Amino acid sequence: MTVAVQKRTMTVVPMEDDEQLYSRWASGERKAGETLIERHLDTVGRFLANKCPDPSRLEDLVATVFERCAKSLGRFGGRSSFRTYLLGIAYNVARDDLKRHVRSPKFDETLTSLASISKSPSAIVAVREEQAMLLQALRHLPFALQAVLELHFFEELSRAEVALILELPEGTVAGRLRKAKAELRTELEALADNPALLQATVTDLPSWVADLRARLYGSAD
Amino acid sequence: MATPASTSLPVIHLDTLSFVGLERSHLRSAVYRRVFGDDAGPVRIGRYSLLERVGAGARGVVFKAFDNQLDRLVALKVLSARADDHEELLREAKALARLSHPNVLPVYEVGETEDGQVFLATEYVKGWTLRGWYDEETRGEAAIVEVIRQVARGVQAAHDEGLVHRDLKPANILLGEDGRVRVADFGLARFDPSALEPAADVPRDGLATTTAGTPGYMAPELFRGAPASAASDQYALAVTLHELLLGALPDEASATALRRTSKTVSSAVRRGLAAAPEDRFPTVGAFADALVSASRSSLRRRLPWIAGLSVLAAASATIWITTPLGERAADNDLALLRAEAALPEDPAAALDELRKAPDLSDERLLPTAERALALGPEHARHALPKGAHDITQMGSLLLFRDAQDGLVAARLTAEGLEPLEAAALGFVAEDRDPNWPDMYQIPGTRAVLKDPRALAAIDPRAAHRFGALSRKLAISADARRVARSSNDRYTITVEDIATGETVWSADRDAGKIGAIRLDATGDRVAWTEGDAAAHLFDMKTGMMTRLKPEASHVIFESQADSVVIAGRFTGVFRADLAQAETIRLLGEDEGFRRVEVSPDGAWIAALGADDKITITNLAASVPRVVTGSAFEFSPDGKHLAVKNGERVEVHNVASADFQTFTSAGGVSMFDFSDASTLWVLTPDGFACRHQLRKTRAFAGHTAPIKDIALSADGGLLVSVASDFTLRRWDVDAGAGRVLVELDSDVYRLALDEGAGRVALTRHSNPTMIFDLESGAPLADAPHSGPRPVVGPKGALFGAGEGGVWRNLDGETTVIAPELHCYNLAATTQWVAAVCRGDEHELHVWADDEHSSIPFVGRPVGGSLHAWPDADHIYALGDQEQLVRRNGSGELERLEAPRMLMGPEPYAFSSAVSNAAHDLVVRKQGGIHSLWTTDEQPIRLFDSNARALAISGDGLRVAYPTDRHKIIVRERALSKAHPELSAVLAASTEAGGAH
Repeated sequence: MTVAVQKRTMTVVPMEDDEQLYSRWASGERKAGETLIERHLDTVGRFLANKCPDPSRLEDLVATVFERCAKSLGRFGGRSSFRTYLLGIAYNVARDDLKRHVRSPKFDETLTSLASISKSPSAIVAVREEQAMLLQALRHLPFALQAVLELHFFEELSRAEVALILELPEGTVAGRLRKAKAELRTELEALADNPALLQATVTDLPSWVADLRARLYGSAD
Repeated sequence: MATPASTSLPVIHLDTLSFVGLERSHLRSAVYRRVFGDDAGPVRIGRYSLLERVGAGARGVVFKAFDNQLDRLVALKVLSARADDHEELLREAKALARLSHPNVLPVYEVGETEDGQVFLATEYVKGWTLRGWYDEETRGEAAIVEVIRQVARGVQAAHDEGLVHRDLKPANILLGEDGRVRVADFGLARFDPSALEPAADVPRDGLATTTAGTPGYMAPELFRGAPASAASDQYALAVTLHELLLGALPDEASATALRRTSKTVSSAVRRGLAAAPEDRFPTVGAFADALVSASRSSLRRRLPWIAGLSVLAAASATIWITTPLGERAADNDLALLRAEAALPEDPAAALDELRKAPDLSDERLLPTAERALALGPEHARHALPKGAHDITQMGSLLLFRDAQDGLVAARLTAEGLEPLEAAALGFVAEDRDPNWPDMYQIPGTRAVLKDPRALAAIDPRAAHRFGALSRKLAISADARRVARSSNDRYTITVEDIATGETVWSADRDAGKIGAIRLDATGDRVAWTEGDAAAHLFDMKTGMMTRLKPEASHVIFESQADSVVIAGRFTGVFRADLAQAETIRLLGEDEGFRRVEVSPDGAWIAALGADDKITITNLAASVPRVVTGSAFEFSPDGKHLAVKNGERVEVHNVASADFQTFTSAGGVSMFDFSDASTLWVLTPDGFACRHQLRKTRAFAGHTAPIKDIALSADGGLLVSVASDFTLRRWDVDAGAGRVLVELDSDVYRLALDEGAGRVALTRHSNPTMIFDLESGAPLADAPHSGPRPVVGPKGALFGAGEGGVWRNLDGETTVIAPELHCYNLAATTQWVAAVCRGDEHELHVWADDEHSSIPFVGRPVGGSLHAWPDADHIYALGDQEQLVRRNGSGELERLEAPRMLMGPEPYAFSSAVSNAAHDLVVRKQGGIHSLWTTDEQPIRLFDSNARALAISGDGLRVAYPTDRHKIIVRERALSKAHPELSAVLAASTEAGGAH
């Protein structure tokens, strides 16, 4: 055994759940707002980092998400979890930003990929080369598919939760997820077919791709 | 994850995708600022204030930061290394900080943040990484070699200090706008968290755990566990050079590919890439020296050629004797590199750089000089008097104070600054004359205008613009009327400028009057009160209207009976005055800082937050966003000039087209003096005149345009469209006429200038031939297919399912009836066709000879061309190829030059000009670029045009738009060497002086 699968670890055991914090924030308690921001900064940042055309836009987008949340305090009705609600805002913020950013052809979330918009790499600090590769491959998917996949894999959200975020029927989300996985596979294979590019980015791609494929096929129930 | 990964495989650690340390603080503070309105200022580390995050990589995050102690910008790299490596990391970084060399990125300080992250403060370099520099545009060999030599000098200096880089690659090398290279990230590779992690009990492909670097650039010995060394740095540098020259990392094909480079460069690269460290050069410096001799030998080899250019050879003879060869070659490289860096942004600066080259007979300078000339918008720089300050530009009028604080007015003309009598303009030099309302103060200066009448007499546009700038005053576009608020801003008055009579006046008490606007003729005035309520008064009807919603700006559209209203927080609206209808144009909950309607009333531009400018068409309301902090419309409303950083970009409002203008020294102010002349004032007191490239649009067709052709000199354009008309246009006169009314749709056209005729092909029908002057039908030719061509003996050749036919003197012969041909190209010596037998084949006929060769891949319609040298045939298809017809008429396939191998396989439209030094236009990624034969692409326009024509001299390019218009774009200048010689001869005089 060489490298273990590191489980996501929750270092903070919340004393109070998000929904309680939210209502305290809505009633004007700044401290509660701060705690919520702290708790979800990574989620929102991570989600947006791979969706901004240029790394220097990240802070602005993250700030916009929390700003929108703060502006409509009290409107979150607890239909979903707070995290899901926040990701829904983040999705819209990212999409709106791209709509503004892309001149022509018009931005279409189901067709346009980030890679087609911008050559910049992901704004995420990818510690390992394989991660960088995966992030890059994800950026080649159409925006909507990329988002579905990342929400499902990175944030480990259920289809129902993803459906809430995207405001789509659950069936559509399942369909998109299937399509996204297939397209990601194609992207990775395309990358694997270009050894020069791979060589520069990934140390041990064949086995890594095999691993990733196993996951994609394995979880493609 | 649902499925656990196999334990022997690497795993993606998704939980490391989080924001820690400084990056987190910075992000958090951005959020707090917006959510809670905190204004705690930027995050500080010691004496540095973090400004913005500029990038992220495997090794950490880079911020642009400000050094509060030394008042300068720095780049702050916060490393994501693990805590227990700090001491060694600090030691290494400090060693680097002691190293001082022009080609090594200076490290100003190494330190630790409070929570233990190591950071490096380095010089903030404006420019590119080598990766970005290379991606931006294909670079010539000389420029690349010069860059690598600078890198080598920096690396050698570090080696002399015992420092090994360990991760040389294009992404770690910075190239400043000043043309100087800085090598960054010395030794940091060792501290990659990924490299330090004990990777595996079972080494992957024998990769040792201590190895670091980027695989493609790592020397073979490193994979065997050898430590990084000067020799492995040399290997990485050779890989980098290989990549820049050939666009790929070394592989099996390298040996062949390297033949494209000069011999000395390729042998240096080969030696640097030797598998055994001892077979490489003894030092990186020696590697660099080998590249110097490369530039020398290429110079010698080309001497005979240079001697043929009599003017240049004679001019350079004296310099040749007085300067040592090596020095001269090196300085030429530098000049070339700087010139390349300045192109395409500032052709004039590029020429300036080339003038500094000591050896002007160097052939390598010619292509760059030629491009600078050809690309260059007419560009002139006029120095304002030394000490000029408080500068304001209004149209063609310039106002400033001289060194003695005297007020100076000047008109900007093509020749330079023409002084005007300031007193005659009605200016007073005192800051505040109590007798004059403060709204007459010239914006940006302390000067006060006595009376707008004087200004209107000089330049109505300047007067109008003065009104727009002042915001408390409005002057109608025809300079007939002026509207102003009183000093206390509660009374609004409209006066006739010529007579000085008050036309209308009103006291308002709802709030101070904010912005005032007059419509074009001064008959209606609109204003805002208390920064919210907007009113409009029509002096003809005496009607007052309160506009909704609340607004802080009101702008008239000159051609329409409506106004545009903008609120600081509510967005931009268009109010139709006749029907009292208001529609939202922009912004849901967005505010705009400045909104303007173009002078022709068709477009609107709005400057929002974050330096985003939205341009939208009032009719169609299709917004487009460009980046910039200030903007001005051209007087004809067709262009919008936008300040984007240090440049001004002039956008065509109706398309995605733009031209970029850089004025050395930056931008402090800019405005158009006429529809095609943009003036940019620099902070250091220069007025730069930029001429917009000419673009002509030809309208007349009423249905999609099928095909177009330009004459050799670009003066004649013919077009055919689905409106069943064949038209001819005089490009210089800007007019055209219907030549032939057709009875069916056509397909392609060919212009046979020599015989004065036009041929039209139709689906499964004979080709029609018409007289170019009268439009009279001449003989029909057989079947139709691709675009016909003019070939040997001036005969017209066509093709299709029945083979290739030839029409000479009205007589038609079918050449190869058994072949189905669907692509033609010809020179005066031969005609070529792509045909379908069992496979695709390329056939060539010349006199009685006939030869063929398999065609690789699938051809694309209309994309077979004769290369300008007349021996080569160039085809765009899903695989591009170059075929040569040798002296004995045989065909041989050549390895296609790099320029021809773009990422987009299908170029739907392409064209090749006949001029010997030029060029092919092709489409790639939606952008049509001009590719010169020295492999330099020049971006021309974005379009989906399916037809494309280029004049024989390569100076004009035509393409149809979606709206049935034809655009003819011009490269500003000159194909020819006479002008080049003149430029270089002028430079020689300058060069000979020192």
